[in-house]
Amino acid sequence: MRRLGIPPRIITLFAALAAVCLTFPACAPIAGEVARAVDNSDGATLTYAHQGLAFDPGLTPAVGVIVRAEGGNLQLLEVPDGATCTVTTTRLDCRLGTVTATTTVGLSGRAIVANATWRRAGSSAVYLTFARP
Amino acid sequence: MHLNRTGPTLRAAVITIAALIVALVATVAFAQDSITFDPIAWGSNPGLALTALIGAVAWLRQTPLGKRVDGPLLVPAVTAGIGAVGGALLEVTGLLTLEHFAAHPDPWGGVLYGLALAFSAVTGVSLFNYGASKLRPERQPSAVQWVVDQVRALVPLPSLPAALAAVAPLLAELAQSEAVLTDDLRADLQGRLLTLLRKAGLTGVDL
Repeated sequence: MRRLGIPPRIITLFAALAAVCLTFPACAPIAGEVARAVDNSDGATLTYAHQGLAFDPGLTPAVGVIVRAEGGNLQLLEVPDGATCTVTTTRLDCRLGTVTATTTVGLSGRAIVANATWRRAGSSAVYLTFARP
Repeated sequence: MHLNRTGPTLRAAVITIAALIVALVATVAFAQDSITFDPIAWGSNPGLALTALIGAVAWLRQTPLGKRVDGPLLVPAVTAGIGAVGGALLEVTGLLTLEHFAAHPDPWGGVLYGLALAFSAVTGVSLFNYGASKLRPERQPSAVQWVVDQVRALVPLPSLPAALAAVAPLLAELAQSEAVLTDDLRADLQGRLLTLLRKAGLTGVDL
């Protein structure tokens, strides 16, 4: 697990992930492992909830929270207070801002994958996690 | 919402507020005619003398001769030298009126005064520089170099050329940008990562 201490590092990890994934002849079996390897949470979680994605910031507030999701036939069911969400049938982009308690983005669709990034107050580190059941 | 820019924004705000405060204080001081170029007062007002000493050293370091004056030893030494000479001149000319220093015989009271000023100047400037360094935005390393380094670290050597070829479009993209991680860029990268993993076979969940 690699800590994303400074902004370019997250770009690096994405690039490295692409490199690793594209280098392997059979990507599918390792995609989940790669996602877990890149996962860089500091205690916050993103979980699949009943018709939604729940972001739990952990013990301290998370700032600049962005939740992205991809899937099929996506429908935005509920937008948390203060959040700005844009959705197409295949993609969701939710800017949750500062999250102090578990916040759920109401969403339905098929084969949804999602991730979230955030920061902590007073730090430039960017954290990343993938949605888990 | 641009919380990912909170650090630089906060620093910019602090610097702006500090500049406004300095400008306000300077304006008030000028309006009250309390800021004057008054070398005679250097012997009675340590604040003015200290300002003059710091200014003199800063000016000296801007000159071709003074460009060599650098480092944690030479700068204090030169400051002490200028302070000592200046203090001695103040005492010799009878301008040093501060009781504790003027009581010493010429020129040692002035030298002592100058050294005290130099100590204050060096300490003060060091503290200022320390504070300023905390406000200065952190220097970001080259995103391109980070990409290359991370690929190099994560990919076995035989696969390195292929890996670099795979990220070549991203390298080209980053090379032409500052790669500051704005909210929009972060969201974009998150999306690209999801797309990549889905294509690679990451299974999703029906909601």
